[in-house]
Amino acid sequence: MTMSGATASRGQLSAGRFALFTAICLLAAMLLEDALALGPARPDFVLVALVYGAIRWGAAGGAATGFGLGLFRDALALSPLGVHALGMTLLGYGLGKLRETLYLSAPLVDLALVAGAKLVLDVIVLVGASGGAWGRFEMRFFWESPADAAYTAVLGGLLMRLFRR
Amino acid sequence: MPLFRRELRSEAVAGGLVLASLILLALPDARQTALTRTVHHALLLPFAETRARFAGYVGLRQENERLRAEVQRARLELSAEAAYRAETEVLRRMLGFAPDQPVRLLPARVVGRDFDTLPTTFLIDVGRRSGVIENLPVVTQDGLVGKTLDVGEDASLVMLYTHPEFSSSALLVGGDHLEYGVVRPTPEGELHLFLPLRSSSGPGDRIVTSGYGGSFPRGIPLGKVADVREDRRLGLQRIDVVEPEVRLGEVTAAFVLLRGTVPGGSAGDVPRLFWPGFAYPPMSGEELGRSPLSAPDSAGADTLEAGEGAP
Repeated sequence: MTMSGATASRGQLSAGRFALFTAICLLAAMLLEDALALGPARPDFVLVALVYGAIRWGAAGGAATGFGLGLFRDALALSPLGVHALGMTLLGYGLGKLRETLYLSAPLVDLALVAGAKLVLDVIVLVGASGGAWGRFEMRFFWESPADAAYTAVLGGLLMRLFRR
Repeated sequence: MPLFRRELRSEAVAGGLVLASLILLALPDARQTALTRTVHHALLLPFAETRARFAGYVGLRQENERLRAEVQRARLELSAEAAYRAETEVLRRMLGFAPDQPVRLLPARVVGRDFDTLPTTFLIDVGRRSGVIENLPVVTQDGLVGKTLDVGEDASLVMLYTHPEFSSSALLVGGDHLEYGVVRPTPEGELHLFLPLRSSSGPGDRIVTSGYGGSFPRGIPLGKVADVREDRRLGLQRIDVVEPEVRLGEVTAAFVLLRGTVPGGSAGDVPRLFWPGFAYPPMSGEELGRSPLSAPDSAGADTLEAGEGAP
């Protein structure tokens, strides 16, 4: 399947709609993430924007989007500047590559990509942030990250579904 | 070839951005913090008010839920406490009542009851192992509840005064006179005192067990006369409607009177039990707590001999 074929079959959003989708994701990241926390699970709307952006724009676009959104996340979370930028750049690039090589048209694949991306991002950020403190990494990655990933995938999928209507 | 160039381009872009991220990460901490804070404020300050409102709303909602849960829990605790207080009051009264009695009172807890329209039996948690046998009186500090019907090792079935087969020889204390009769329940759940036609009784007169009949010692309160009727079918009897002293629905604990009765004998010679407010005046020719020489018509009316002594 060529890229254009895959893109066409996905019923991709128009540029305007996608910009609105991204803007809503960023607003939700600023305003709603705390409110939508469900027990240990917290959604990551910045990551949702990154995954769909990388799928839309490919490896280079995904890397650029990832860097920008990563800086945004770093500023938002007051984490060391560059941690999320690094992780999201790598993720954006990887997702863009995947989109160029795989047939990605099913909504469930999108959900799996969002969940998988969240886990990978957590690994990168946690390794950077924990600085070798394995106990902290273990607690966060094995107990909180899976819940975060599943919850983010569900909310991201629902949001995208709303925009695809 | 163009595909190769494009791949190179995307990798170059990604590599450059990774490098930029690493440079940012390598910045001195103070610089990094200052940069992060600057971007953070620039991004979030315009939304600060909206964010605070959201957070406040969410906080209020959570607070509301928490308070509701607390109110619910407090209500439950309050109702449980009221139940405990009532039970404690009952047990306290029982505790004060038992030492005054000349017989041994075995405390028992009601562990089961039938749920018919009219309760007729209770299950209590004492049995043969505690010395309980059949036909022992079961009382509370208010008066008679019934008597033991079936006795197991650690539990006994109690025949209540509402049981269709219950009957007790009774003594009406009318102020200046005593009347002997039999108390029995009706199928409708009323408790009736059957007296000879020429007896005199009035509302408020107290009724205690007479001690004749073999099951109940003399002086256990049964109730008060609530209404006076005549047997219209035969016109031979006076029937008093009895307002029982013990409300069966409220009984959670009771005593079994362990003073055994000799089969076929009378329980009337048990020293008079003491129920406050139920002392009855002495009567010429009859000593309190003793069987009179000649048994009245109602002798043997306790459930054991109900078939023979019933009016």
